[in-house]
Amino acid sequence: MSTHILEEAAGRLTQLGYFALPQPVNIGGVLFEFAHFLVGPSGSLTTIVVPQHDETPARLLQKVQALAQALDTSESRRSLTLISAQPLQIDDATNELSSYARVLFVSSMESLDDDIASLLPLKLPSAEGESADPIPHAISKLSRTDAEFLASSFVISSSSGGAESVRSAFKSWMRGALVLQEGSD
Amino acid sequence: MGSRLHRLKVANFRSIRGTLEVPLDADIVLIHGLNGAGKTSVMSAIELGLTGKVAAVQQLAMTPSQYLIHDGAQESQVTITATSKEMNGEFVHSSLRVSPRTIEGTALLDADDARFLVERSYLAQATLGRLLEMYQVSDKRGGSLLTSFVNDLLGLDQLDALIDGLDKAANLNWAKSLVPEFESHNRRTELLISDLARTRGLFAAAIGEVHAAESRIKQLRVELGETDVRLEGRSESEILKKLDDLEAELVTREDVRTRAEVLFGLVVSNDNPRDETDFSSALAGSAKAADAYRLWDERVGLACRSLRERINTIGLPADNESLRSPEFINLLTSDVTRMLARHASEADARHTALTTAESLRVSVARLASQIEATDLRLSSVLTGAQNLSRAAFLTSAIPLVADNACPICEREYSEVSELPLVEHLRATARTITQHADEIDALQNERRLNHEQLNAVRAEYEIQSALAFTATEKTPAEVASLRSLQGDLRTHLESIEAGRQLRVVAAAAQDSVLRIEELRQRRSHIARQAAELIGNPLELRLSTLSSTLESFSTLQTERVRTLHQQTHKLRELRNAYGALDDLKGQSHAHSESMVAFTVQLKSQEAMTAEADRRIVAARNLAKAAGASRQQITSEIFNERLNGTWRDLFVRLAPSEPFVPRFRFAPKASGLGKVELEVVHRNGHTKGEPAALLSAGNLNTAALTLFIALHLVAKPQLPWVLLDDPVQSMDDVHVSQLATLVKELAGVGKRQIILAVHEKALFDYLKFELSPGSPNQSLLAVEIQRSPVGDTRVKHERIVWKPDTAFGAANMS
Repeated sequence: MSTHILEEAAGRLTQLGYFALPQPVNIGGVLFEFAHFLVGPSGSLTTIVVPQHDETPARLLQKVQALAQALDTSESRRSLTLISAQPLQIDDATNELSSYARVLFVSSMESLDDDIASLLPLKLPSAEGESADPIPHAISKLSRTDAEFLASSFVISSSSGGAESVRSAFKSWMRGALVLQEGSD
Repeated sequence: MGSRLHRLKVANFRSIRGTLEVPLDADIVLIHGLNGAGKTSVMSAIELGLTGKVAAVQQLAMTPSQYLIHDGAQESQVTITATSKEMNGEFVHSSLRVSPRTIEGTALLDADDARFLVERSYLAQATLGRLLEMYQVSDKRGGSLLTSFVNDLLGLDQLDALIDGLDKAANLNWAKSLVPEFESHNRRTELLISDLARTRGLFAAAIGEVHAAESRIKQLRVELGETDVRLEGRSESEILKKLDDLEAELVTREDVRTRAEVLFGLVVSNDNPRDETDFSSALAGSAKAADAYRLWDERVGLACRSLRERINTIGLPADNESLRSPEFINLLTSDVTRMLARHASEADARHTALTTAESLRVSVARLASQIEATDLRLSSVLTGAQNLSRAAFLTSAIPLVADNACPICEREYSEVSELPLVEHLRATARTITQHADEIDALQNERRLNHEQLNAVRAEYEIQSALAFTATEKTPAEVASLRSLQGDLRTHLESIEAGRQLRVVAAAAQDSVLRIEELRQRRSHIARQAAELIGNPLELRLSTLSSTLESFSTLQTERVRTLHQQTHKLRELRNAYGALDDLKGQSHAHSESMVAFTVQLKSQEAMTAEADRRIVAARNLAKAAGASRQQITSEIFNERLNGTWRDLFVRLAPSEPFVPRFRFAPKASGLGKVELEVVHRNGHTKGEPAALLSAGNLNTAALTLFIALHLVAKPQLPWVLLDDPVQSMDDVHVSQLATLVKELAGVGKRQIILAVHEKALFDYLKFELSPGSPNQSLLAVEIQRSPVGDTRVKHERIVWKPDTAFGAANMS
């Protein structure tokens, strides 16, 4: 199960522009091999490793520790992130991992994006509708008859002047109904 | 977007002593300073240079010298430089001089951008801890920072204007109450409805009256004996002609009836069943009276002739005719009576004159004797009277006497008498005076006796003349007069009797004439009746009266019938006239109904149009509300809450609860907004303070601020965070670093991040290192010199190729 989730996480990241380094990865002459070894897209210094499924926490700690030291040694500014399955119990080894890498636990398929959210590219809120005029939105909710009828008045256009302006236009429009000539619509 | 802060120059500002320049021209500017070193002062200086004020401390209502000028300095100066996208990357800068009381200079941003910076770009250190609370609080009108955010973001003011401005459209009456003209419009409509109903009633009544009039006309025409009872075909002139005919006949009949009644009355009043008997008796009486009168007349004629001769004999005028007049006879009788009286009077006067003359003769003799005696005595007294002048002389001589001597002879009187001379003179004069008075009396008596004698003698001569000159009538003459007097009286009585006879005869004659006249009148009446009735009638009044009565009754009946016909014809005429009037009225009412209906329809059309407009406006308000609700919901759920969740999960990946705004949007507003945290599985909810740690509460606030910045309309490409990592653990810090890089990279924001921990600063300096040549990082350290001046140390960290993985690994 956990392997599957981790595979899913790696695949998700790959889809988002992370790419996997061929392994073992040689850093300063030291070879490192993980289930997945990913680096961020251009401009990103994120480095992601996914442990192999049979690694013990201690072994994983050793490998991450060694990897961090190798990066330091090579004066790399890359930050290290470890994606791991949610452990049943947080032990000392697990806590120590945080000293060398950002540790992200994935727990389920449903929460995968949440679990690896910081690795995902920032989704800026859609600009759609930001500059959209809400008046047409409101008019679209009117019947065609009402929309055409109201278009002949200044009620809608007066809304830019505030409520009093609308009320004044509404009053004028109502007053206009009382002076309709015969045959007028 | 695209503008970038370039440089800050600040002097003696807040905790900064001296002047320092802080470079800011990097994607990410990481600022570090120990507490009190001036880190926050640099952030405040940036805010001042951009906005012209420091919002966090301005609320404390202190003067600039109290919160902006470094202690001991006279003034502060802040100059900030930026590149402007609008000016094609040219530098723009603003310099502000802070004096103790004022801030001089112009901020780099206008008011709108300044507000955006304070609310959406700059998270002051003091704000972070109360940010969540700030966004939950709303004022009395429901306004809140969130409301302001939503309105700014979406421009919902126009929708709100429609919703608020059309609030009265929810109800027709409310809406119409806005326009006073509706009141008069409604009154006019009600008046038209009332007028129409009233006119309909009048029209129905008029139609009913038309039907009634038509029925009455038909009935009248039947009653008038017309066989064609159709309403039409009867002209006014026809009716008038027939009415004239009827009225003419009525006048005639009335006249005939009146005449018949008059004749009947005359017949009744002149009827006399004993008429013939009376007429015979009257004729007989008249003849008898005439005979009696004739006999009297003959007898009186003889008497008159006899009397005329006797009367003429005594000298009075008379003729036979005049002697038939009682007045003349009375005059004659009076003359004879006077003659008799005069004869008697003359005899008495002669006798009296004889008697008086004898008496007067005696008186003359007596008076002559008295006069003779008086003369004798007077002659005796007259000698003494001669001394009367002597007495006067003596009296006048008295005043001349002096000393008793005589004034004439001058001898002493004492020689003569013992009395004084004066006394002697006085006594002598007195004696002489007494003789003179007696003479006067005798003379007066003599004169009176003479006068009386003359008068008596004259009367005597008159009476004597009378007595001896009068002629006395003989007794035979007097007897004749007396006989005539008696005969005249007898004649007068005869004349009076004759007068009675003549009256009786005249009366008898009158009676005959009257009866005759009556007979003629009856005859005339009978002729008139015959003429009136048209048949030769018997002149007997007894049958005439019944004939006339029957005739009159017949005429009366005819007149009554004519009256009825006339009345009905008039009624028919009036009914036709009334029918025309009623038809005219019903037509007028009908036209009024049409006019009122047209006007009412116009009014109702106006009302319907107004209602239609109000309903359309109501629909618009509803649409605006629905649109507002929908947009707001989308913004909150999909954008604000979604972005916030994404950011929060990035910073707190192990936190099962995520914060969000829970709200129930209303059409008229944002509705009640509450902050809550919800489990990622969506089931458990609760209060943030109860379910989040202090660190995650700060993370929630920080991510909310960034979410608001990202969701808001982009105005400024800057995010300034003053020590946002309070209470954050290492994991959160590393996640924040990733987020900052994403904001700078993907979000294209210039990030200015201030921290106070040196280790954190160093860590972030590492984490935020450029990953590509077009990324840049400035690490700025604010320090104090040993003498207390503020100094700045900065390091521009540039990208360097990372060779850790080697080219082989990266291929």
